[in-house]
Amino acid sequence: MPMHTAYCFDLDGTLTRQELLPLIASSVGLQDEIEVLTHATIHGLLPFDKSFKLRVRLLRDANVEWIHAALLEQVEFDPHIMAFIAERPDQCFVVTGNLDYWVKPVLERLGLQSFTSIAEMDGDRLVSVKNILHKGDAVSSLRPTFERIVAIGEGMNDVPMFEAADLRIAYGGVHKPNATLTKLSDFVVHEGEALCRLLSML
Amino acid sequence: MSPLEHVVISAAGIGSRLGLNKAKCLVEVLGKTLLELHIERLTWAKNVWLVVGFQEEEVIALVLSLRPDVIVVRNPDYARTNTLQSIHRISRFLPGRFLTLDADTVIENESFERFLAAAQQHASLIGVSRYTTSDGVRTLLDESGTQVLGFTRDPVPEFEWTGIAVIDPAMVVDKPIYVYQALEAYLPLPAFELNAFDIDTTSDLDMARHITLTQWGKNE
Repeated sequence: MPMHTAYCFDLDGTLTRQELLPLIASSVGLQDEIEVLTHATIHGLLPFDKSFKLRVRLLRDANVEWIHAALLEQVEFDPHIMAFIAERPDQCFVVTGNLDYWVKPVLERLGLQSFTSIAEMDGDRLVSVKNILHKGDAVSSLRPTFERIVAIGEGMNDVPMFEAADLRIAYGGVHKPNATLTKLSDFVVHEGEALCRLLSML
Repeated sequence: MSPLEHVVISAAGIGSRLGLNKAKCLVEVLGKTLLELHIERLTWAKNVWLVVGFQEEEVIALVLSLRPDVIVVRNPDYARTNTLQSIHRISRFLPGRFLTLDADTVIENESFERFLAAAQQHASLIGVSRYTTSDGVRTLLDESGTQVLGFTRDPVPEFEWTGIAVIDPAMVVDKPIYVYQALEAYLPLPAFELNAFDIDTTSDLDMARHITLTQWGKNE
């Protein structure tokens, strides 16, 4: 018996009030270098996949304990969204292009089933990216279990998730959502509280 | 009667007859946009839903600056759909009755307050106005003037349909017809007079500026 609705949340800048890659980069002093790559990606000069692999290459020798400590210390969640998730954890999913190896402590705090990009490891050493998550695939994999899928995101890499979902919400609670993504959305909200009011009514 | 918790503002249309190349909710009357005036009179509303289409980026930026908890409902098909279909994009999810109004409407606040008070006594309520416009839809009222019996394009009846109404989500259908045509199936419906009219043409806009300057005739 399929459950009624699944809610797929982007992580960076949607569930979290901070973008995680800049936090990860600054924890090892590479914020300028990572910012250049992030800019190039946002402005369409570099595809997300290539940019992400480059960013992982730059950060792969960073001490993961520092990264995890920085994320645990600095990442904040919206309390309304946390309350919404806590009421229906089996229907809520994190869909992030970020690397499982890095964002593990953030995901553990959220306690939700997650779809992430997957690190290639050599023992306990990060080598590169084994698989970059295509967010549309994550949504498709939920199809047999759910009748309807609601996607919530803010960035260009959420576009495939929106294309595969039934209802799409562009979230501007942290920063203005990507213009292309907004054009694909059914709703635009600018506060976590408003997002949850909307989700509760859908 | 359940309290009124939802307001749907329709602001998707192009407003081609006004010819300003500007979404009508961005038009200013005495230094304030129509959208700002609506947001100010709806502070009581728990949920404000704003349907956007034409010039949506500008409209979204404005509403974000006025009231960030407004939920924006997109109608990307605004050029090919009408107000009823704009409303349907959100009414299909609403749990109960709601207030609907067009963003291009000028409203006298005192009569709007009386309309809201009357809506506590009636499950549905249709706003009618003595202020008539060149191509407005008029309402046929019963003898006591408290029930809408019909709508007409015939410019004879005294009261115009304002587009302001408290209605049930079931009354809204996803069909290419006007809002008043969807309401016809539920007539008779209670009527309430308020001072309001929509701005479709430059003469309507002139009337809006004159009327707000004179505070709806009080300062003439």
